[in-house]
Amino acid sequence: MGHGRCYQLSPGLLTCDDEGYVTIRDQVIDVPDDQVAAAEEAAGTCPEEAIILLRD
Amino acid sequence: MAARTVSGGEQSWIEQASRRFSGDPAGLEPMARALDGIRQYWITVLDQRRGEPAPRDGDLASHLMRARFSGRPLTDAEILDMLTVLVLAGLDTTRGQLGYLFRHLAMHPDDRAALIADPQLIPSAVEESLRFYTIIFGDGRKVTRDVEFHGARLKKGDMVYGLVSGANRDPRAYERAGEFILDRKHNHHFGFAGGPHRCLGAHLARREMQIGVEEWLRLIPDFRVATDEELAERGGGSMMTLTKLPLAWDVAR
Repeated sequence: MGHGRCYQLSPGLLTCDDEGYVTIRDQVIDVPDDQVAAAEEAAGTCPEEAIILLRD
Repeated sequence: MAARTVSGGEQSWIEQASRRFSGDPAGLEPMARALDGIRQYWITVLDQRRGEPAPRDGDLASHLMRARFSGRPLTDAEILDMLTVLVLAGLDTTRGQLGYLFRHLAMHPDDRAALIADPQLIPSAVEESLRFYTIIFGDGRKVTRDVEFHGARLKKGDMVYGLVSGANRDPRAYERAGEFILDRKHNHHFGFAGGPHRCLGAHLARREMQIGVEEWLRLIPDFRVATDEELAERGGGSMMTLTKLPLAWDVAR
């Protein structure tokens, strides 16, 4: 939806396109250990609850 | 306070147009005149740009005149509506939100001190003010099909009201929902609403508010509300704001 919270909070993991939408959509990506905290913050801050963290 | 310099006083368009949000019937006529003034301003802007060979750089009106939607250009009426909404949606709101945030900082020296010690917390403070002092209560939506929603049976055509200010205080969604927590994590608030109609100006608003707080605190770290009288708010229509926020601070010599 372009809120922009996710890529702002996890710039090492997510980027945006020219219109401010997150570039990674409908995909599963691996989160490196050093990005886990940022990923949790991004997921918890999305007003649309669009980010789901999968743990194995 | 920033609000005074932006509006230029009681007779400005913004003051008059914003009075509609108070729900006060006496405000309607000046509001209509102010909206007409704003619209006339934009009509002149469009006339100046009509026929120009290229869009002016960074000029929204120029770009709207060249935009296409569903294979056709936008009509003048559509462009004027968009530009008018831009004025209404983008000026009173940021100063209103800043008003609540500055009042909070004036009354909570611990939070002020935390921001001065670590200005990296300022964005988080802005977010928490969007959640805790939500200025746009919500908005109406029309139901597009018969549906059962959390036990309520809705029919196509029903109007519902999404109370985002209530959602922002939902204890099921936020720990210590009734407290202003400066460095709150996972602040997935709906201060700018959500879905495809979420606030288009959110990014600009965030930057304005962050910079406003940064610049102010750099120069005026200590301040207080300058009156013992209860502060007045207007609202009830769709947007809440303080009507005045007198602040005072000591100047070092």
